[in-house]
Amino acid sequence: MPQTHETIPPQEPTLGSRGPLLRVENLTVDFHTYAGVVQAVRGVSFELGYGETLAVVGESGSGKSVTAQAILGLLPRPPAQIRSGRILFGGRNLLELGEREWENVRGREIAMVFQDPMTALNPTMTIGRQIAEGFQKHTGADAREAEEWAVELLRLVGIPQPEVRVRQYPHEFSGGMRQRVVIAIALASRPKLIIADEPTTALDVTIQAQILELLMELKTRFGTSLILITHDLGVVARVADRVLVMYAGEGVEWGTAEEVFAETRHPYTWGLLNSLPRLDKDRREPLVSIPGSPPNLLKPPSGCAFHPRCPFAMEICRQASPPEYRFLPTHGARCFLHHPAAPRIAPVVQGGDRA
Amino acid sequence: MLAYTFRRFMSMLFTLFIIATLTFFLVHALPGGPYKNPEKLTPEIKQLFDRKYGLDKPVAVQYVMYLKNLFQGNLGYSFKYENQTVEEIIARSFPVSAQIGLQALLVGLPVGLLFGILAALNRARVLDYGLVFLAVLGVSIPSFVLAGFLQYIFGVKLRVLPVALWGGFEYSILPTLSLAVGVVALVTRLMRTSMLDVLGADFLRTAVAKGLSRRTVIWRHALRNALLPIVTIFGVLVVDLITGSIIIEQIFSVPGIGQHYVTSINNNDYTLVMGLTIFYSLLFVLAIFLTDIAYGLVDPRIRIVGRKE
Amino acid sequence: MLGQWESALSEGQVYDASLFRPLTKEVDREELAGPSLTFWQEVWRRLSRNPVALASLGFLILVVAYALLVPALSPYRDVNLDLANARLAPSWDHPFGTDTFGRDLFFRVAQGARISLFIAFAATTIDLLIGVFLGALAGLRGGVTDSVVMRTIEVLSGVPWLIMVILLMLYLGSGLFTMIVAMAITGWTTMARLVRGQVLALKNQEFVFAARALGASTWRILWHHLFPNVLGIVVVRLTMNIPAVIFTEAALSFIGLGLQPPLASWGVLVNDGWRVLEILPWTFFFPALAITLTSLAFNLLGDALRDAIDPRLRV
Repeated sequence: MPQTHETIPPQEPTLGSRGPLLRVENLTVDFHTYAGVVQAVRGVSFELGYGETLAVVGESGSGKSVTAQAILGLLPRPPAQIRSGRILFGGRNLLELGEREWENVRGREIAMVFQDPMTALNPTMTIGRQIAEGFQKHTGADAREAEEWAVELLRLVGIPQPEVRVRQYPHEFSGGMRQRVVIAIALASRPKLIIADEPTTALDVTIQAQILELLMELKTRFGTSLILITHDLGVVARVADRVLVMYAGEGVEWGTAEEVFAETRHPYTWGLLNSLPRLDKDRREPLVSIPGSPPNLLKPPSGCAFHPRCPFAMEICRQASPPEYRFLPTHGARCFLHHPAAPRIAPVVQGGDRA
Repeated sequence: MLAYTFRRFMSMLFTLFIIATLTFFLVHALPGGPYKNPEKLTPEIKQLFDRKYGLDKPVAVQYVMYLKNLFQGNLGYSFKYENQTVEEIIARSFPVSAQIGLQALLVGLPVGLLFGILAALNRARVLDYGLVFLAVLGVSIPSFVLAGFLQYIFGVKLRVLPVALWGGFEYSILPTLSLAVGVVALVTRLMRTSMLDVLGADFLRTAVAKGLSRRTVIWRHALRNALLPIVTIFGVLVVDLITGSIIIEQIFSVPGIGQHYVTSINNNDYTLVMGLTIFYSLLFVLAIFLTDIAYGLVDPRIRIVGRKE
Repeated sequence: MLGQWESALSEGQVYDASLFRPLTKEVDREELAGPSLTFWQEVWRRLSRNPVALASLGFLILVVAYALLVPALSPYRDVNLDLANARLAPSWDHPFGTDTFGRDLFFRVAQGARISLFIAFAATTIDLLIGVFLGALAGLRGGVTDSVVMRTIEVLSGVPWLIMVILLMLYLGSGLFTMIVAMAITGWTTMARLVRGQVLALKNQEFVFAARALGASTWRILWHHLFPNVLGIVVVRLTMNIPAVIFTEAALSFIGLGLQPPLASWGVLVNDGWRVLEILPWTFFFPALAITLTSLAFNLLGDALRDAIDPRLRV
């Protein structure tokens, strides 16, 4: 990172000291399509404190992106329908907001970083303008101030020659640089929360690490909370304070990163951790994966959605949906293995340490 | 950008050259020669004619003379209207056609854009279906049908507008309308498609996520990108207007170049036919050239890439 | 691992202990969301769900039937001059009225349909053959072949189509077949451009590489993979081209280069009718309506076809 002006002194995050910043309760989202109703999110709950990083992990189709977009009110109302739940942000239920009120939340309180940097920017508008737009709207700043701030932001996200670049167009930037710009846009109005939906998936592996580092550094500097949606457990291990594992539209396990990695309580999470290729294992051991494929959310399986693929499935798993089982105030999972009547089992392999 | 412009310009000249050549040889190959009733002419008069129009020289020489004259903007004398050069005829009648064409554009473009935007914003609702249907209808009604229809309603039944000939502004109303409908239809369809494409784009989502109002998002982000492809159909519009004007001027007896074109064909007035054909091509090729340049100016991706060359 | 835990945070649901035995599972098979259809079956399925497309198709079938049956069965078909019945407004006997010569217009419009449709289909077919051939050639071969074809297209496109047709007809003389030829040899440029574009796009797509990797011969690739994808574009263009030909043919009539009697296409009828618009408006309106509705049907059908063929559209 080049030497920057110290305009933004680093903030100290106080984990959970002021109560949760964001609290999602039992969110349910349906999509009405030609083929029927797709139950994209089937009751997910989690919380996030100030300055914390929550990693939301899951396969494609697990409902992670839909949840993220619901938090920002970005779901198109037909065909999407939020059937139930609450999204509490700073005390207010976001689902009750009118369109005008949403405009004050988006960008200013909560911002989003999308997955594909190649298409996330307007090709006919300068980078500077795109960064400054939201800022101008939310603070009433004039064009000159806004441009200065845009230049500063570009510098902070590591774009060289920001005074020149600020007047350029997106096609003059590479993929990695565009994602930095997207991050700059997200930070422009100093939101309290940033949701990053698979921010590195579309980028080269070498760039991925850089972008992630940048994100974490800026988060600390600005004191923002971060929800990081990803399917990459390696990333999770490195940066997350809390973890939420999603499967088929439900949260199946959640907790602090320590708890979820070292004291894993759900067979799906076990499966995910096992499937990570590891350098310390014998080369001849076969790679493990979870058999089967994610369920069709038009007709989710009965009972626990994971039961067709679960090596520990019981009869009850097919008949009923497991309730939440709490192990610690912060650690819970939905799995009948934790019912008193369930047999004791030892997991086949361990998740190991976070390292 | 400069290099790009230059290349397009050379391309335009080349095309015009080929067209001029082809037209020349085609017209000279037409059966019957320029004389409607060659038997009635005495050899002396025929010789005079030949000399005046250069028809006594071998074809190759005529071709060279033709090109030379063309270059100087000299299109020769009309066979039918003696003592009038083709350029004079064009100069006299082009303003009439141009007026109708421009009016049709001035009316048609904004209406078409508006309809297209409205349709896209109300996708899959009644307004959308209605506008799309109107647009397809507009494309399906031949201009002469529409013209006849308008003549009947406004001229015969209501008797409020003149249906033929040329005089004051009111004479241009019906011809303009007949052409404008086609323009509206074409622009509506294109704008709707373009707008729909943009409305589904990712960067719109980014704009909304920034907290911008819906109106700002549509005006500042969606529209600007949706208008880009419209620039490209300018050439097509000009073609349609040219083609349409030939027929419309016949129907409304308007003294524009279209009408002259038709009469010159029926009179075997070859210089006039050639001259007008080349003029039409010039208009069209020029329109395409301007379109390319305009597109380069408007789309920053081309503009900047061009500059780097 | 499963050491200390607290009891469930649930509603106190009680489950029978026997339910906690292991589950016997069937093999997990991925289910298909629906029956698999061939490309054209899928296209037809989408089309048949579209009421506008069906209506257009139905109308066009009706028009063809009209063109075939009425001239063969009408009681008026041998009437060339019947002044007693001339200039009649539409009635039960004469649904479209009669013209200056006493000819039944319903019959004449049907005859006109035959001629106009014949010209349109003939010109379009030749146009298709030339355009597809040259377009595919240019796209596949690339290089010099491509340049030559593209230059030719550019030059031909530099002159408005109607004007080129006019010039050609001056040269060839006016008549049914010269008209068809004139339109076909100048109109193929759009089709060629479309086909070339599609071939270029497909040539480099991954499914072609995949087929080659599996050992498919060039011929098989052409026939099984490229051809169906190009056919879609060709068919759409076909339906859009037919109204354009009908329109151009009618325009030629207005200019004086149209068909001579006894051949009476819709264009000729419209022209004739226009001349007596003030006194016999129906002689103009019915042929005009015929052209308009037929063009409308073709355009609507073409639009619907284009949507049905587009693989990205989720209909």
